[in-house]
Amino acid sequence: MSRLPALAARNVGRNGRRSLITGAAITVAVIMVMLLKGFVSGAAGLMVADVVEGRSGAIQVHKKGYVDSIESVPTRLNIPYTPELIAKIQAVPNVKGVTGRIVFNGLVGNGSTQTMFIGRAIDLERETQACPRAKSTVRAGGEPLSPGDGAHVLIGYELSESFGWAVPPPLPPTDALLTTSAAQRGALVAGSIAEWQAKASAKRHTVSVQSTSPAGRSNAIDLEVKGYSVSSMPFENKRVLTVPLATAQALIDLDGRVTEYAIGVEDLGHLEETKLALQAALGPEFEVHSWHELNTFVRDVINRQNIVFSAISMVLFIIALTVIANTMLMSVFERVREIGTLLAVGVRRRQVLQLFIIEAAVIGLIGGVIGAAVGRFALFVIATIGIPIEMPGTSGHALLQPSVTLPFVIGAVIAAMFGALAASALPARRASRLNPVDALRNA
Amino acid sequence: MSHLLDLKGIEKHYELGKTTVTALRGVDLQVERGEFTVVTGPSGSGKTTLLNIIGCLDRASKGSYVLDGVDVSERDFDDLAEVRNQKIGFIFQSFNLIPVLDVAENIEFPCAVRKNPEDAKKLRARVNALAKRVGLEPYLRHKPDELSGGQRQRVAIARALITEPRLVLADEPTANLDSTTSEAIIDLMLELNKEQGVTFLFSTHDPRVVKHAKRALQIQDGKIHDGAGH
Ligand SMILES: Nc1ncnc2c1ncn2[C@@H]1O[C@H](COP(=O)(O)OP(=O)(O)OP(=O)(O)O)[C@@H](O)[C@H]1O
Ligand SMILES: [Mg+2]
Repeated sequence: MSRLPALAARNVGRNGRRSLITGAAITVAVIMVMLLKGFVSGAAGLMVADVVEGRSGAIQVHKKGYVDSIESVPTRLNIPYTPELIAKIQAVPNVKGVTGRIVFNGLVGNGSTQTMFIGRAIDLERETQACPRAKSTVRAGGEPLSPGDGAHVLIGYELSESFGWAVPPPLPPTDALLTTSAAQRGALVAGSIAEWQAKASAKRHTVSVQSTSPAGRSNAIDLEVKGYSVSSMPFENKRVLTVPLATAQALIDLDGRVTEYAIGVEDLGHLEETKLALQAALGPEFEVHSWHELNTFVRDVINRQNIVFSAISMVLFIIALTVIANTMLMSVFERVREIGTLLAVGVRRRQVLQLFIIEAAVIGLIGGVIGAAVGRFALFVIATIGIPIEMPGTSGHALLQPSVTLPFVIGAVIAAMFGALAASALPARRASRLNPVDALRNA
Repeated sequence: MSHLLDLKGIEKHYELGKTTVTALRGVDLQVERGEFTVVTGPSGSGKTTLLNIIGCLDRASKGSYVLDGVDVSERDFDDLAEVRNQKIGFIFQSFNLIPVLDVAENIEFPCAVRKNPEDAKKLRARVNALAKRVGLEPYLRHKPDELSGGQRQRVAIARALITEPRLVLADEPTANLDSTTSEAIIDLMLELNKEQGVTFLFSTHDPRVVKHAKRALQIQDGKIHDGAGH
C-alpha cells in the first residue's frame, strides 16, 4: 500500500503526452468555466448595481400591504416623511443613505396627445445618498434634475419620441468605443452630444401632468422637460416621469409624506440582516423588502443566466471527463502486462483500482490548479482593462469587469479533481478485473 | 514433513465456444524443498498452464493442490494474493519490470506493497545485499530501460528472492536472452539454489539449460513424465 501512491504519481509522468492531453482537457475546461462564470457574475453585478445604485436602492420601506397591491400604484398607502423616521432608519447598521419617494400615476400630454404615465417623485437632496448612480441615468442632450428644481420633469426618452420630439443621437459605434482609449472614448461621446445639442432647439418642451390625490381630488400642472431618462428596463423608457418630491406632494396632496423609502447599504452581502434590523426598528405598520424581492425581473434574468452557465459548465465538464476516461482506458490497455505482474506479486485488485484512480486524481488536481491559475490571471487582466458594454437603454459606458470568488475557484479545482477521479472509475475497474493469466500472456 | 508442492490429478480445460481444449490431463507432481527442477516439452504442451496453476495465478479445473501445507485448490485469486506474495517468487520470460521504478525500487516492490511493510532501512539493506549478490550493485538507481536483457533478468531474480519465498517459478526465463547470458542466468539461479536453499521450478525449451537441472520433467499431451536430470 505504502508504495502505491508514489507509483501512481510517477505513472502520471510516464506517458507525458497523454497525461498532458488529459491535464489540458481539465485545464481548458476549468479556464472556460471560470471565464464564463466571471462574465456571468460580472454582468449580474452590473445589473444589480444598475438596479440597486441607480434605481430601487438596496432596500425599500413601504406601508404595510403596499407591495401586495403595487400594480395599482396605491398612493393612499403613504407614510410620513420626517427627520425622526429618517434618523431611525439611518441608525440601523449597514445603512448608508435614505431617501423618500412617491410613486404615482396619471396622464401626461404635450398639448396634442395624452398618455398614461408612472411618476417617480424623488427627494433631490437625498436621492443620491440612497442611489448614488441615479443621476447618471439621464441621456445625453438633457440634464438631470438638481436640488432647487420645482416645476421640472424628466421623461422617458421613448415617451419623448412618441411626442414627436427631437431624439438624442445614437452614440458612436460600439467598435469605435472598444478600440479607442478612455480619453478618446470620452471625446467621441462628447462630440456626439455637442453635435446633437447644436441641432436641438434651444427651447425646452413643456408637458402637462394630471393626477389624482388619495382622496380622489384631480389636479393638473405644467412642467418643463429638463431631460430624458434612460433605464435598462424598456417599460420605464416609455412610461416613466421623474419629478421633484415637492412637486408630486403638491400635485396629489401628500405634503410631508411619501409612498416609499429607498435605502442604500454599505455591504450587499449583509442585506438580509439589515432588512430584519430595519423591520424590527420600524415596527409592524411598515414592510421592508430587499431589491431582489422588488425587482423580480432582474432576479429572474440573473437566475436564467446562472442556469445557462450551469448547463454550459456541465457540457464542458462532461467533455473533459470523456477525454479523461478515454486516455485512462488507453493507458490501462497499454499496461496490461504490468498489471498482470502487479497481481502476480501479490498486489490486490482493490490496490490496482486505487493505483489508476490516484493517477487520474493527480492529473485532475494538477490540471485544475493550472486552469485555476491561468483563469484567475486571465480574469484579472480582462477586469483590469474592462470590457465596455452597452446595457440595453443605458448611456452605454458600463464596464464589464468579470471576476470570480475564491471559493468558486477552489470549488472548480475540487470538481476537476473529483471529476477526473470519477471518470477514471470505469477504466480503473477494468484494470483491476484483468485476468492475470491473460494479462501476463499479453506480449 | 510434507512435500513443498503436492499436485494430484490436476486437469485444466479451456472452453472455447463449443469445443473444449484440454491443456493438462491428470498431472501428479511432488516437489521437495530445495529442488531445482525444469519442465520441458513442446510448444503448447501445457508448461505455462502448469506453472500458472502452481503459482496460484490460475485455478485447475480438477484435482488438488497443496502448497507448503496449504490447500490452495479451492481458494480464489485475490484471496491468494498473500500466498503469492509470501511464498512464491516469479520470474518472467519478458522480465516484466515496472518501468517507472528504478532497480532498487523494482527489487523491493513485493515487500513494499505489503500491508505492513518492514522498516524501510532494513529493506533497503536487504535490497542492496541482494543486488550485490546478483551483480547489480552499480545499477541500483537505473531504470529498467537503461539495462540489458541479462541485467533486467537479474533484477527480476532479485525481485523474486527479496520476499525469501519457498518457491521461485520461472516460465522460460532465458527465452529472450542470448546463449551466453542464458548460461550466466541459469548459473546464477543454480548458485542461489545452493546457497539459499530456495526451490526453483522453471520451464524451458533450451536443451543447454536442461543439462544443468537436477531434475527434468517432460510434459507431453498434458501429462508429466519424470526423467532424471544431472
Ligand atoms: N486462455 C486460453 N484459452 C484457450 N486455450 C488456451 C489458453 N491458454 C492456453 N491454452 C491452450 O492450452 C494449451 C497449453 O498452452 P500453454 O501455454 O500452457 O503451453 P506451453 O507449453 O507453455 O507452450 P509454449 O512453449 O509455446 O509457451 C495450448 O494448446 C494452448 O492453446
Ligand atoms: Mg509457455
